Amino acid sequence: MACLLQDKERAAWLLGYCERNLPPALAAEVERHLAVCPDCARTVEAQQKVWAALDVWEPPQVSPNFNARLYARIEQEEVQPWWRAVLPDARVWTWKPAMPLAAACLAVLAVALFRAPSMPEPGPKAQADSIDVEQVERTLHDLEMLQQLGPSNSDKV
Amino acid sequence: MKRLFAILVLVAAFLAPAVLAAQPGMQRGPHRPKGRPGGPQGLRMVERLNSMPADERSRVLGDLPPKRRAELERGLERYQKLSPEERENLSRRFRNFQELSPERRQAMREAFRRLNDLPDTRRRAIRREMTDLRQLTPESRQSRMASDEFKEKFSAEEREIMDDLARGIPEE
Amino acid sequence: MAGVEQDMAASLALSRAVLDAGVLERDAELMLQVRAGDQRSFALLLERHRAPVIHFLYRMVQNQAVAEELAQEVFLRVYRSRETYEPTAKFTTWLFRIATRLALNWIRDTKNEKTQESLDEEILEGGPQRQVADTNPSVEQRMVRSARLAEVRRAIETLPDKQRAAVLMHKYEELEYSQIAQILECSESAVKSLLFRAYETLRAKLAHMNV
Repeated sequence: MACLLQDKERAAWLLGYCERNLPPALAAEVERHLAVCPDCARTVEAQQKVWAALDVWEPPQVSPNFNARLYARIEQEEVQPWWRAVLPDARVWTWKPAMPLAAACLAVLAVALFRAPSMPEPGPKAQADSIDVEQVERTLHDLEMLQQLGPSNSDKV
Repeated sequence: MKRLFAILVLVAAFLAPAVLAAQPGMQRGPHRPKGRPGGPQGLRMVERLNSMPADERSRVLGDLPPKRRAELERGLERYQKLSPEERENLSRRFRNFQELSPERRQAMREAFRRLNDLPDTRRRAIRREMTDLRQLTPESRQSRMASDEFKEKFSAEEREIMDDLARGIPEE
Repeated sequence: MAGVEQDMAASLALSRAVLDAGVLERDAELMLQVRAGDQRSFALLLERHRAPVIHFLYRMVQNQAVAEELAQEVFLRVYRSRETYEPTAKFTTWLFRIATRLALNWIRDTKNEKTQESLDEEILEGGPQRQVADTNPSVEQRMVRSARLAEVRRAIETLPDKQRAAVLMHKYEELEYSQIAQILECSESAVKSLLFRAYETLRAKLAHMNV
């Protein structure tokens, strides 16, 4: 086998060898080659050092308000009236139109506050409907993970 | 009087949208997941599903694609087979898990996925090591994981997996 | 027009074939649910992919605040595209394609303005917040770690943009060549070239480090 560094396709085998994801037959062939090719052997050693060096670089933690900011931006886009996209600088807010709007809000608030919301206890159908299947899936996955990582499962694969 | 009325109107205008949004059926916006994903509600939902009659459970899960449904039902079956004591222990560990930050929980999930991608022998070695690490205090655990002997036994990737998993070990 | 219709029909047929085969990946399923109006699926996708996208962008632009801004834009674009989403590629391929384009655009647009300020600030602050199992390092150890980190970051920064993206996706996100090729919109052979040259450069700059 000629030196693997001579072309990029074969040089990729060296990377694959370092990552331990070559098919066994090819890995064995590369290993035999490394025993007789000092350049390739040096490259493998150097590549492993590079990866170890790159491992030092840990990213910072994500800001705790990342999601909130994203959702705020999404909401802002959603509530924007259609004409705002066309006329972003249009000014429609004046004090006078706000008065009826504010009065309407007051009326709605009054209705909401004084309404007697005697919600009946949800029946079985409603209870079943309130099951969030995605959440159940995630919970089961987490439970499985915690169970496998538990103290009595060290030898279970 | 006029000033008082204006103030009342402004307060109402300010509060009305919040009150309206709280009314059932008037939720808007894309971003209100109910509670934390997989939070304590998640466990209650699992238990509720488990205790449902078969036909009702079938109705709840009916819309799921077959593969997902089969996986979910396998998960429920595994949970059902636990003894009361095992279930109590697991529930306690789950509640502790929920106390972690979302980022920490996600890091643990990803570490667990990477762990399962490792060859069997390495996975077993890591699990055995994790068993020992669980017995240590956080300080001793960190000290052991920083030792040269530890670094020789485990690759950088394996150490990172264990670091992510170890940080999820609660103070028991 | 006939050509467009044929393309759409082919795309739809592919989507159906993938769906029928039952091999639709989980993320694509979730995105289809977002398309159908399920907002919780978007929240789930965000939770699954937020960290890898931000970490990738952080290493590309080497500034956490910028990385988070770009990541916000990535997920905004995903959300905006929900109604026309078709699972013609892996979800992560699509996600990282958006992220890579935004990062490359940002790097190109700020090339002349870029200073070492953000890099040096973080070094002075003692490096990234996340440490790997290191308890009470001494001042000397911290300085050594900071120096190593600075060297790694500079080495990555000197790589041409596409080589940098390929290395980061290959090393840190552990993506396959085929996926990197789709993300960078080039052939697998081109990806191997990029990685070959990138790692050659990095070996020259970093192989002396004993970590």
